[in-house]
Amino acid sequence: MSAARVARPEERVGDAELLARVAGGDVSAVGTLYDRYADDVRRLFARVGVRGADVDDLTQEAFLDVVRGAKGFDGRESARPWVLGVALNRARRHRRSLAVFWKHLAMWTLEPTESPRSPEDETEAARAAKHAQAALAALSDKKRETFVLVALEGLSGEEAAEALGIPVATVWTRLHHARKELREALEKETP
Amino acid sequence: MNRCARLWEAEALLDGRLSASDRASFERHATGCAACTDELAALDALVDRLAVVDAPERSDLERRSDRTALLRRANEALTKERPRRTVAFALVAATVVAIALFAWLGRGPRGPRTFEVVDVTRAVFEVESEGDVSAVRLRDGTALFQVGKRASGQRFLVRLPDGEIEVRGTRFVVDVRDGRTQSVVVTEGVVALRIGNGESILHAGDRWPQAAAAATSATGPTDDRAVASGDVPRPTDGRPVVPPVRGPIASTDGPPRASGEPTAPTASAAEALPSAAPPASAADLAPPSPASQRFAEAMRAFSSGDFAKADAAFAAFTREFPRDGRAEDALFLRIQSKARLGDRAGASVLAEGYLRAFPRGLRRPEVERFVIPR
Repeated sequence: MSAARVARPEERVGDAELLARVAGGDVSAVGTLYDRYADDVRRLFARVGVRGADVDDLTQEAFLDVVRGAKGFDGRESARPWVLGVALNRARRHRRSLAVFWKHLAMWTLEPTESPRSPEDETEAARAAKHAQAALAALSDKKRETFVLVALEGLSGEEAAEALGIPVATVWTRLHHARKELREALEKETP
Repeated sequence: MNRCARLWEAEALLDGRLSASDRASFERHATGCAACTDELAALDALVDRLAVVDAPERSDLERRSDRTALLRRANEALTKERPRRTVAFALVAATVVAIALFAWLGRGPRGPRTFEVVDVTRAVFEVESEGDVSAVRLRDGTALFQVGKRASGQRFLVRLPDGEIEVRGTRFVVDVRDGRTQSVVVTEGVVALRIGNGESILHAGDRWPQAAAAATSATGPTDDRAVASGDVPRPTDGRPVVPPVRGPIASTDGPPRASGEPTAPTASAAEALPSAAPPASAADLAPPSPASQRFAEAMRAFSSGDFAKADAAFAAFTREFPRDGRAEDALFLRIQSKARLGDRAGASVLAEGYLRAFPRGLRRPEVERFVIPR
């Protein structure tokens, strides 16, 4: 018989309570929030186009933004949409700060340049991931963010609108166009 | 394939935009409509195909290390916050007075305030105004300037210990240390930078290092674009014109503004970026200084992935030009090189050195991650 996993006391605390504790200066609450949402934040960064080597740095910065902004959390049951919204803002600032850099300097990356592997060496899964990443990257930032938040991260239209700072109607419009462009892009890649 | 007039409802269904009755109606319709059934399947498949995009995996050790680093930094952030709160009221009151005074000083002679100065890193400056000339004297530190379009006859100057900058409608960052201008970085508009006997016209995207300004060329033509647009006054005193070294620029990341947010400046307010390689057109531009050449060689090694060579080159650069404005960048890139070589212990040692040498360094958040806790 497998041992039941015993939840630590802090795991049973709701998001609203955790953020209230963070706002009150409780560092351990930060750790619990991190355990809960770090993977979601890292995945969001990867999906909105943050380079692999920057994902971890940005995740740290995003959670520090959460710490600084904890007082502003409105106390709803799940902090996930809010945390993802904070992370998205961090990604946007990161993107803006890098935009000019890339323009002027040939890209120096924080990870090895793509190794010249032959197409046969790539697994099917790796190829599919590469095509998916390329399709997402081809979207405009606004459409990509909207699609990632709603279609991939499961936020409601209202939650996404709040995270993005746009009207709900704009969320649906961007989502529609994003789907159209993604379908066209992926159809081109499909042999 | 026949397109069904209700095809649009497939997306609306997924988005949760249909009312309960419309949803039931569409679901009934879809059971008998191949087009709508296919559309629902295609929309689901789209999500499945894209959901494979994910962040790189982390080991448990990496995850624990990141968590520990976050808690340490969160503790620092929360600790700093507590004493501030105890004097918050007094500080806010004093800051409101200061901002009001600054706003009044910042007004042009004919109307509303037209420039802002933002303390990026311990900027020491004073506002000086004389008639139609608004001026800020930057004595030390790093400041961001945002200058609105000046009316005809109005001038805005940044007075430096060793020169001055004249602008008309632009945004730029100036770094002064030990009585010398270390760098000027322009993000919008055009500025004329006068250091010593030289003058450089800097456009958006240009960065001026101290070394390039010292290498003045013979008197040459001014930048006709800037002059033609009326953005930069044509020099009339025969000073030689030194074209800038074009390269990556620093960007600001939401620094506190003196005009409205009385918060302390943060170390991560701007990001330092390494200088570019020497100018592309040697015929037009002053020859790069030895420091710029060495830095560019090190950058080329880094860009090409030769991290061992890059590490050695940046180390040599720092030894030879310890007071160069790019010393911080060089040390940061050494840390990156060590990390790329898999030498985490070496990266950690250098990271500790960076944090000691540049306690408010612009790359501090990134560098802290390389320190291996003891």
